[in-house]
Amino acid sequence: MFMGPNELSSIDQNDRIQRGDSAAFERLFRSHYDALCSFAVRYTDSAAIAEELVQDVFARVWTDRSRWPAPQNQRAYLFTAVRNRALNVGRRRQLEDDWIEAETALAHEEDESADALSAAAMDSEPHIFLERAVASLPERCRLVMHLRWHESMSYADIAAVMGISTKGVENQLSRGLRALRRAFGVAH
Amino acid sequence: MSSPQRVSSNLQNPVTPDLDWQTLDRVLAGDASAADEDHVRAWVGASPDRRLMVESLLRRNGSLASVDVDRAWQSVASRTVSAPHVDRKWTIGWVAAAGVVIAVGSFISARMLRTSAQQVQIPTSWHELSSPLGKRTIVTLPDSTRVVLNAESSLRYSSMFGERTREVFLTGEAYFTVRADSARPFRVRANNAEIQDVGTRFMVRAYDAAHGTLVVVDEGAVGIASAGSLGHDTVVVTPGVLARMSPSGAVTTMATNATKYVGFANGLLATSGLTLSEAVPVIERWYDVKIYVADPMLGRRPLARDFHDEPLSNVLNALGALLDADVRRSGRLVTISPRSNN
Repeated sequence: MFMGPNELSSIDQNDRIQRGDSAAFERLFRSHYDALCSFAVRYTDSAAIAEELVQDVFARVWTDRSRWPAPQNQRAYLFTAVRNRALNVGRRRQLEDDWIEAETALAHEEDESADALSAAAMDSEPHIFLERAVASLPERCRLVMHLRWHESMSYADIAAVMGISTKGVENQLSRGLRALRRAFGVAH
Repeated sequence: MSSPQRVSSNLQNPVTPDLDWQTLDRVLAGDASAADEDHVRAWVGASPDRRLMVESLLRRNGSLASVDVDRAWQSVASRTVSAPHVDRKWTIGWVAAAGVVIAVGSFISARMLRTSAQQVQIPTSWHELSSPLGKRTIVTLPDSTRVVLNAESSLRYSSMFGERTREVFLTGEAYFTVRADSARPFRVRANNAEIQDVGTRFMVRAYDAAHGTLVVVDEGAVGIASAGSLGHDTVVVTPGVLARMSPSGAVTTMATNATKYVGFANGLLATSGLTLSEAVPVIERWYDVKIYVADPMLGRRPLARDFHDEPLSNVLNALGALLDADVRRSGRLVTISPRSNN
């Protein structure tokens, strides 16, 4: 595989972190902190708890820096660590599991509830309308959509972070888009 | 052989055949080829609903507006790269070598470290007092200063406490009733703050460096300054004032009702005036439970009452009635959700 300058510098950065270079660690922190908090808050519903959780993950990265993964996996590694930590926080684990169980069974009902949102709401506040349509989707579907469209992650990385197959990622995205199209009245 | 539906769809949009989800996905992920973009542009152009959907999805901002990366970095740095490398055994015994900087674990900041390095403390042993989740603990220090430690809080002081100064290190929240002694000032170090007092009653809350350090005085006055700056950058805090030191060391003050902050020392769980979301961490700590609020709207509702160290079941019943919500408890997990209509 061709290696561009970015990959080279991230390999260099990787070595520096493993050697305990605090400036390299700070760069890593600054380049991912915001995105990881935006992801974590989807589990915690509290910005403060999300930040605390992401900071704990970085503190752990520093403590365990000798085990820091290969550069191409760093982002997925950080997101996975944040997700694991968020699930360990516990309160949401049960909910997410419930969603997995209920996803198939509820697929039709979700679509109907999206249909029920009023057309007037869509015209006046399309963004609020979108948020409501998104909110009516299962949590796992929302998380996959966030990682894909907000973080531009590959299917393989999303699969690794969420602990599902790449096929599962595709299913979530196609299901999500289908439901959103229905909600916006885009039948075709 | 196509179905009637397919025929009608083609009739409605003869020029733009439907878009497969993968193409739309690539565009939304910023991962699209020029051909993908042309395809989506044509598809969107054929219907206002499509345009509205794609535009809102592209404009959707999933970021947390409140994130302050600099502040967060300070907080992480103080736990990682700026934290001293210490033999963990210090908590239980003597630190052997002379000239070794006595490090106080994770709540020391880089600045404090420099200060202690200049002073070159001599080897000493440490006492640690702590109060677990769900409990408040009353302790009396060697100088007969009385401390009420709130839940999930700890206080450390060295064996040199009281020889020339009286200095304690706090993580969490505590209410101090300090024995007056102007010759030996009483100092509390918490996060990046140093609080000095000669004989008064006050509260310090320092659970989490990122949220800053709060000081409320019940009687008398205390000085608060960045660690190491006492004497030149001190802000004096008097009763009725809430002082907060930010992680960057800036002190802000505002008028407050002290009862809200010092009440815990007398068994008052002060939640009136807080929203449910604000009260959740307070209640969680007080009763050692985890509370999940199922609906964000519910979290914004204000609570109109305080509790007087009542059993958890009373508090939960009262919350259910106040918020007209379903409150379910299973072991240590409490779920508060909007009351179902059926």
